[in-house]
Amino acid sequence: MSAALIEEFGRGDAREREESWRYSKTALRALSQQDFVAADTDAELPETLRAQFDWMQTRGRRVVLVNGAVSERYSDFADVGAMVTVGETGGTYAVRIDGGIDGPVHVVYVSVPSAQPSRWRASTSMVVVNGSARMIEQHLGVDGAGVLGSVRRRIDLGEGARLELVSVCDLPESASLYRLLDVHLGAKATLRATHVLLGGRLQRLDMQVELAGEQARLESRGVFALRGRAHVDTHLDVRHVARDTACDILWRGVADQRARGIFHGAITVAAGADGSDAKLSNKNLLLSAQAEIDTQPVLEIHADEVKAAHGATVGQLDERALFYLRSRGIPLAEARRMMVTAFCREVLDGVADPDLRERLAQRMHAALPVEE
Amino acid sequence: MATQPLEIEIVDESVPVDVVADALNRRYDAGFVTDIESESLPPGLDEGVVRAISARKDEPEWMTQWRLAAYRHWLTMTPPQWAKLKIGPIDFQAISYFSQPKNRPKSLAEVDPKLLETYDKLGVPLHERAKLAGVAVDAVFDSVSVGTTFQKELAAVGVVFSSMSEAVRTHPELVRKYLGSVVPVGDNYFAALNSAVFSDGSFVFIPKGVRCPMELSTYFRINAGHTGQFERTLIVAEEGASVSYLEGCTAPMRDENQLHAAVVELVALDDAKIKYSTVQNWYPGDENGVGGIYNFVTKRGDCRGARSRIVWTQVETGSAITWKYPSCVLRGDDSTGEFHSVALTHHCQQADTGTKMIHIGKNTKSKIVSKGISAGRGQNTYRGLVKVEKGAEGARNHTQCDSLLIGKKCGAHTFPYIEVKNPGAIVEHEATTSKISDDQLFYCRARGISEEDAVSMIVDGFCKQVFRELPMEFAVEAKKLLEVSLEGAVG
Repeated sequence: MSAALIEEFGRGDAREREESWRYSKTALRALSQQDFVAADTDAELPETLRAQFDWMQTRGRRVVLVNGAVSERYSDFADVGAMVTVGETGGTYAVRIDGGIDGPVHVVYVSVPSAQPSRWRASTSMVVVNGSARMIEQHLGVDGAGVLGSVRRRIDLGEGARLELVSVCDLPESASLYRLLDVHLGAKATLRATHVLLGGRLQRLDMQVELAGEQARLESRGVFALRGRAHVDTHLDVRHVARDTACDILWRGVADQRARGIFHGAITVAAGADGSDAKLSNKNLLLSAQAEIDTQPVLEIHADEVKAAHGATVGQLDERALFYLRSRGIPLAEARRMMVTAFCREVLDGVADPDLRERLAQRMHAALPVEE
Repeated sequence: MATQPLEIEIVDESVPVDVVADALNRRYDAGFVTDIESESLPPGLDEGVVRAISARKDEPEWMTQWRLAAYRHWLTMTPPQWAKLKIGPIDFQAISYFSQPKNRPKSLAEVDPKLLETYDKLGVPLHERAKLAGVAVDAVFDSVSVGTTFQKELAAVGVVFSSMSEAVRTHPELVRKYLGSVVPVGDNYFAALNSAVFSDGSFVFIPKGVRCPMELSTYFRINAGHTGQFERTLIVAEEGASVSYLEGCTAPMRDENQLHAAVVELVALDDAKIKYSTVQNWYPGDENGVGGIYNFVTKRGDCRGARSRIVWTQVETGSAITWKYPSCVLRGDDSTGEFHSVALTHHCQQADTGTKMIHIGKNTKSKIVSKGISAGRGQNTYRGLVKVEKGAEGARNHTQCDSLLIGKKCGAHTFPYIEVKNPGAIVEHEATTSKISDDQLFYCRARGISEEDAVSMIVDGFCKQVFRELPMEFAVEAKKLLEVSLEGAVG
């Protein structure tokens, strides 16, 4: 069964699959020991869960998928109008944005467990033909027998298009999620993505970005903040194919208790992609003796007019800073929380909307590890 | 520049232009073949060959069995595929696993003058020159050690410096205790092969509290065609001992790929210090990638004792393919591992090199400085692992790897693995990739410095951090090697 899951979630040949699941193979194997039933796409959503995504500012532009299928009952596209089309073709839900629209499109994925472990699969695509768009993606779940969801998404940005994507994955301890995000950027297109990953049993994010048109640009920020037994594996794979393309990647990670966080950030500059400018920064905090962090920043450069740099660190909170805060009467737990929040906060600077930024900050603050 | 080759300095108008051109086009100085009668085992590998090698060297039975066990294990293994390398198929049956000059010398005085000439050409100080240079040399020609200098002087302080075959006879208890204790027989495909057929190499033993009075050095040379060289080096530094060891390599130009699969093991006990420096200049193949040495080497140091220290320094300019990761297992508390590397790939050369730092003991420290230079169609990969185990409280690592690109068709890649299981550890990694900018070149040229000199100045500056770690004679050699290897890279 485990082999089958690697087969399903991996890419490339057998050796590449093995390598890309190097740190999560055991977790995936443990997951695949279960017999899954198909998840119920008509499941009822509890009121408390609905409150988590029913935001005033996204009413009328919201798509809700329950266990992988678009739910007529909970979705609300009243205001989406002619500029946005939501529809299904061949099992893939497509959101197509033809021009600039006001306010973000809100896509919510909910995992609802059955009596026994269950699975769902979803495939969605998003095309921004031109203009600029904003999208909020939210993954939520109900605790229970365990759900394994998998989402494959494709985002295509046409010439000069611009997308701001904010993605929050906030799962209960029993839920697992595999996500493949395939991004294709045309000339002068810009994607600014912010990912917040919290909790879950096994979470894997595969993000593949191709900077295919000249002057395409990717800004990717992200953070995972883990505690309990959460296992999060993030794989970023950025390919500079065209000239004068740029990427700026900034990821932070925190692992406490028995959590395990993995960050893999690969930047490839293909031959001919001269004038590329690539930057990657990955910093991690390891807060417990039972936790583990593995990081792997990779550079593959096949062109020579290139500026590329990456840096990665793993460390812990600065004792002197903690002492400073405590000497001013702040209890240890609070001091630690303040410092961890500050460490992660940089990631949220990429979110333009102040309301949304505040909402994310609060959620992250609540989820942050505070163990002493 | 100070290191400019003499031939160019004395050139004046009366010297024909093609002499200058010749000097400029000089590629691989060590590419000559020495015409010496040698006897080799016929190509091929089976248990008989392993036994024959062992028998030729008069090895005791345990050594033969050790080799056979390695051979049998090797048969069950498959060649690793994970490196970022394009390797043509290697026919292990087409290689001769043993070659030695026919007239084996009994002492240095009897060494074939032609051989000595060879080492002279290479600048290896075998005789009095050695005294002046203060370097004790073990020279390995194809498969056997042809002479070790200063043995007496070293023995006076208790240092054992001999060829491995000699050590098996004279110090079997030491060899038996340490051989394979750092790189086990079945560690990897090429280490297993080496364990089965290793021909010679150096053995160094520095007893407790002794500071080795001179630099030790080995020169390896592959001379015969269709042979592989499988040397095995073992260096043991007991409590409080220290030693600095240098290694240099060359081979003649041939249009076949020759295999060099060495194993180097270092053992440092409490407070011991081992410094291991390599200048690797195996034949890199021609501009089109024909021929050249496959340099597949396993090098590992074990900081077994508290406060021990192992420093690897390497300058890799040769070989068609270099595939090696000199590593440190930091087992002892407060032990330190360092890795300083310059790897240059030009024409069709490929290098996949780096290090592993395994932090096991408390307060262990490691430092990695890697400089990769790619020119022509060269592919240069840094691959490294920094692993902090659960018990390695207070471990520290700093890694810096920089790549310099010269030309449109080359590649520079970085694959670091960082695995941390202890919350008291601090691990930092940074890497940059850049090219020699037109601005830099223009600046130099505007000041009357030729393009070629400007490039070598910039490259020299780029590598300075590593060259500083090399013993002086080697630093000069390394600098020269880079200049020669980069000829024709710009323009």
